[in-house]
Amino acid sequence: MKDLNETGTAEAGTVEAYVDKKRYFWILSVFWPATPLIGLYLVSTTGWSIWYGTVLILWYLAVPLLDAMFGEDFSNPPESAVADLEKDRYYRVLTYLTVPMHYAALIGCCWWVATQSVNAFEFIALALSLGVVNGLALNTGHELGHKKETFDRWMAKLVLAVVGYGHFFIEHNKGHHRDVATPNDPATSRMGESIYAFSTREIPGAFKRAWELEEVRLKRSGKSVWNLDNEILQPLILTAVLYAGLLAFFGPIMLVFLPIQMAYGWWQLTSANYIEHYGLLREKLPNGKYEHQKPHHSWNSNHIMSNLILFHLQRHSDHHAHPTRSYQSLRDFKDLPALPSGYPGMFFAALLPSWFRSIMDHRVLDWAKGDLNRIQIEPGMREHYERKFGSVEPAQPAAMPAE
Amino acid sequence: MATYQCPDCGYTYDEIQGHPHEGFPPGTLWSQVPDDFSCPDCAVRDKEDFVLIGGAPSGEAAPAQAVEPAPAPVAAPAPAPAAQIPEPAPVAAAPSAPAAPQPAPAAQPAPVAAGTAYRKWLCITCGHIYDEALGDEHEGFPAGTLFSQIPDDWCCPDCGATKEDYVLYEEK
Repeated sequence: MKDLNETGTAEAGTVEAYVDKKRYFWILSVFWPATPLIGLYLVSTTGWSIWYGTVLILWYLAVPLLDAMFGEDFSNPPESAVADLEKDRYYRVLTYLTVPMHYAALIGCCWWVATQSVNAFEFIALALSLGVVNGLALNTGHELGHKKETFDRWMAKLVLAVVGYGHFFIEHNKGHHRDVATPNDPATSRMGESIYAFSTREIPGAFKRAWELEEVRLKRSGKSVWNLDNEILQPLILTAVLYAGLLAFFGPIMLVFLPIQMAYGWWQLTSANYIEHYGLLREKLPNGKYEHQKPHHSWNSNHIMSNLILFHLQRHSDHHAHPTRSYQSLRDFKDLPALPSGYPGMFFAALLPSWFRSIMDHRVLDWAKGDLNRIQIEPGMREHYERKFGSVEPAQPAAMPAE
Repeated sequence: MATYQCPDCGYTYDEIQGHPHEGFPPGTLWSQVPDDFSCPDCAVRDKEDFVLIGGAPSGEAAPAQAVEPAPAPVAAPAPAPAAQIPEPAPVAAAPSAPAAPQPAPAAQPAPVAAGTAYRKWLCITCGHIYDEALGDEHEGFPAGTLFSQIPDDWCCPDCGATKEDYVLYEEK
């Protein structure tokens, strides 16, 4: 830097090479799925059963605190560096390495509950812990599933099979991204909708949409939807084989353990979908279509700590505007709708609907510049919000273009 | 036979190859692809957003044209089919079809400014186009304001992306 100042400006031709400060920190995302195993190791060395909940403590308590402590990172790679960042295999290899980690966590925990004596409390704590990290198998599968290479997409199916949510690959890429922030999207939550109500709409709705998308695709080739080319059935078969293997190896306790961890894994996805577009709505154009997916149609979070264990998932605005961009090159933009904490903290808040609404509703209103008509509102809650925030006179839309 | 590209992610649809995985056998014309087709890679752009990048459109349907229907005052030599579309994910892009020069879209009457080398700039984030010929009154740039004259800290009025996120936009 000193040299630069002395010579005035950088000489032409000496482009300062961009250094990705987070480059080696992304390894945290690779190791995060191993946390339940670390917890089990601590149990075995100390004998304290609190370590069964290592993941839960880290996820719901420590990470939100660290998010508050370390704050946010607003820096972006310059556009000139993005091509090289995207080409750099290192980043992609990290996502590949994460895949076996999820399998190790699953098999390790199953082995533990089958062979060690655990009480009911420890059993539940371990199942939920595994559910949290393998919910993030959905995150790993998400990053891989958006890539264009066949190998990456197979890795995505492989990792999604760990939690039995293989249809995510179709549902998310071709359904959610197309319909996001519109009433057509079961994976966009409405203002005033609790996560519990949302889950009853999202979980079946997502499967239905995925299935229909595959049906349409296969029909074009003249194939039945019951076909091994069906990309929902492929990972589903992997799951069936995997879980049957675990059952055969570790016995009937798997009949209880696997469903709990799987359900809590799904719950992580539901939580993510719940907070990522809460209340947001894309404008309907005169031709009846919705405007393009822009950065301000997703809640963004720049929190450093949680982003580092989530492959930058929380830079969700850029992700939705450019779904195939890799995690290392996702950017922040000016004036994005922003979450006050990273995902772990927000997931926790979402469990308590009135708390979540007190955090988010006024942010949604600010985002819509006070106009309730530009927000997706839960049916039946409209009157409540009109009373609370005041209804907006219908003259508003007419005044918009003049501005 | 023609090749069309998704203006967001660079996915290309080549009529010669079709896209068998999606159920379009080789030789499926763009006009035969259903209108509700979304980009199979990114899903954030639809058929009508796709840009013709090579070859001549066959069949009866009009080719998908550029991102926004702005009148075309550009007199610059247009048909350079290669890499003017931004590709955030530079994966296997190269359109394989040899690009035949296209007939100019003789649609709009050429405005007064024809002859001046005004250019257009595309926000790679949201597709907003800044047209130097028209300027942007709302942003305080009178008609004829060159992109280079816009302050560096200016942001896209639609999505807030930075000036850096704009690329030169050339129409076919």
